[in-house]
Amino acid sequence: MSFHHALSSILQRHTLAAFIVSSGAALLTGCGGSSSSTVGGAETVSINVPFTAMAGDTEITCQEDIPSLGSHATTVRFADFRFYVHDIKLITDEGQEIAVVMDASEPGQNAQVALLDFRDTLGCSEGTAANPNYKNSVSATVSLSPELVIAKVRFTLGVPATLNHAPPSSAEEPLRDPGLASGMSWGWQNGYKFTGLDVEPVAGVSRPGNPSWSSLKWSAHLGNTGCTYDRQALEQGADQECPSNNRPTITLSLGGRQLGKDAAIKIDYAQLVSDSDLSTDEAYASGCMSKADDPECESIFIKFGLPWGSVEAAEQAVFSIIEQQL
Amino acid sequence: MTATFLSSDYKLLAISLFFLPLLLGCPQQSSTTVDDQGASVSAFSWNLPANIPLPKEPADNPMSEEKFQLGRHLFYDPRLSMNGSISCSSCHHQDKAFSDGLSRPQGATGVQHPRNSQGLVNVAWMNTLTWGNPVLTSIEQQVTLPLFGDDPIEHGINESNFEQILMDLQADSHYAALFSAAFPEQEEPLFGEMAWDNIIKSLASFVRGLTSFGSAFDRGELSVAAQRGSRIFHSERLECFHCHGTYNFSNATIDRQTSFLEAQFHNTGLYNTDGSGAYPHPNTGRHEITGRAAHMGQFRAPSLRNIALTAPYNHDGSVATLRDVIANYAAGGRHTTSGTHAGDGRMNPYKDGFITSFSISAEETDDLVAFLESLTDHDFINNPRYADPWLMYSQGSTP
Repeated sequence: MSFHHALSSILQRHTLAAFIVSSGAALLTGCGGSSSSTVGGAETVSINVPFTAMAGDTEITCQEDIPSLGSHATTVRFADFRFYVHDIKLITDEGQEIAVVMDASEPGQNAQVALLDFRDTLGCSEGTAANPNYKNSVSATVSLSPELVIAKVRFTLGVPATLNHAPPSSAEEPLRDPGLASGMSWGWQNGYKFTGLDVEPVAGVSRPGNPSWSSLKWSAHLGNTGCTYDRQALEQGADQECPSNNRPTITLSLGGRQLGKDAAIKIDYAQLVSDSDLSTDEAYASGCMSKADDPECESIFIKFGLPWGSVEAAEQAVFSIIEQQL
Repeated sequence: MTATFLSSDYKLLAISLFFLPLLLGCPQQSSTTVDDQGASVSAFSWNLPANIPLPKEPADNPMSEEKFQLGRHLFYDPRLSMNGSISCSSCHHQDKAFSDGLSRPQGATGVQHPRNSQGLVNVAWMNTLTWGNPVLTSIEQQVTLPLFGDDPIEHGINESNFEQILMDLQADSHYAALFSAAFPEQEEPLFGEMAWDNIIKSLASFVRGLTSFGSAFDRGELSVAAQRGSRIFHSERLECFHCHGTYNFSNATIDRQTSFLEAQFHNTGLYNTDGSGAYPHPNTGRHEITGRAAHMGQFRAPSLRNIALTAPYNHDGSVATLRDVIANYAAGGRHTTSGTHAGDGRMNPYKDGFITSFSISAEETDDLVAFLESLTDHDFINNPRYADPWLMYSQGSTP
């Protein structure tokens, strides 16, 4: 899988200039990239925010058995691994938030939301061609002053409320269905799956006490649920009044590393399902599809740092910063 | 508000423009008129009886005959599925008022749908769509579920096949003309980036245009038995009309004169699998969407128009005949004595207040069924406007 054409990075004052590159140029490593501009000490620079999808130490690929996942050490194959992110921010050591402005012209993202897609084959199916929509980074610009020290990165999982409820057949990518959002729109709830993280346990999924029930997949789908407003009301802002918006905001310390230079954001499926039994499903949809009383959702929600019923939100466990030399 | 910044000449012009619409109205209408907020305006010939108000049309998809005709072709086209095996008409047969006679149909991969195919009758007047979803309020939204849904798979259109499916439609010369006529404002309605949006809007227009107000009831030609049945139907003993009221025989009816209608969903005591009101998963109705316990087993009252043609009944097709439906209501719910769904629905704590049981004789049941049968619209199920256009091409005629 190919990485980014334009690597760039920033995030610490003494190396800032070295990583200003023009977007689209191939790996400029020298100083003085042409895309930078200076306004009152702040420079607008291109950056890539890289993500990597792992199950523990194993990179996620389609159609490859990955052993020992979940509370019952289940062997699975991945069937889908996509998620939306928006509202990315860099946070300085003094707590100042700096908006990361997504490049609307890049594939798989618009100015407000990006769809990360870690399926290496088309549809994550066996024997199909490479997935042309594979996407493991967000291209953006950010306005930075050289004296700032970037300590953290923050982003929100999911589709922003203002975009989540418009008709998908005419939506801007990556929200178009049919299109990049095929399999990610959630028509019956007037929105999108924020995460489409599906595995096929090689031995299938069974339901205790119900021998006639079976499923091939175990899903982890976050999305708006429980909302009784119609599309028009949701588009006009009622989304925020819904009981379960299910958009976790993730804040990660960079630990002195530089995002896009020697660090990436890791999503770890092994952590997500560490308390889930991937071989069984107690009730409702197989796995968790964000239904408010689905027993499989509790540990998924907790791992994402979301509250679950009367259980308060804890620190999320799914995302972390890892060393990645780019 | 900007008048203070304008010269007096411009002020005059602004005032004139403000009154211009009123002035233009004068030559056409000398009598006093009431602005009906567009209640009687449509580019589509609805051909409704005088007592039926026009249904709402979405602002971004107003009705037209051209979209209706394109949608009709798409509705009957099995190319609009992952393997060419099903079209909308596979589960919606005109001779059954666009239901299919099955308890629960199968999709393109053979997966059985958890719910019964509803008839498509006066859908334009329903304030929510499908059996129990309070947030599906437009046919355009609803159409995407069978086309693109993956749980359950119906048409099975997904990212690995949608481009090929569209190419198959593009290769049919009928569609080039139909798309151009339906979307004349677009340069490439079949080949451009709005093609799928156009497909959805046209399918929705066809379904919206399926209107049925031509029954014996509408003509005032009730048999003597049906007249007796009508009195029973409208009695306080049976209470049918509370949920099956209005000109469309459903309280989930809206039209252009409706400013607001609360979501209408009812638990009719069909199940009670755990003694606490549970309906079998996944058919928990409104509760499936909202997650609220009080919404368990709540479904939208279907229109009773053409109801005699749409057996089997209820959301999961688990009730075989109209007489069985009436018997369940007479008992105040259904008591299932064996099997995985056993339970006394009569004792469902979420049951609607109108489902209280009543006594009804065999003769009265006959009369009530006669009344329900008087709502069958034979013109509707034989109307060539609603029939398969591809069949007409193959027979050498034009639709």
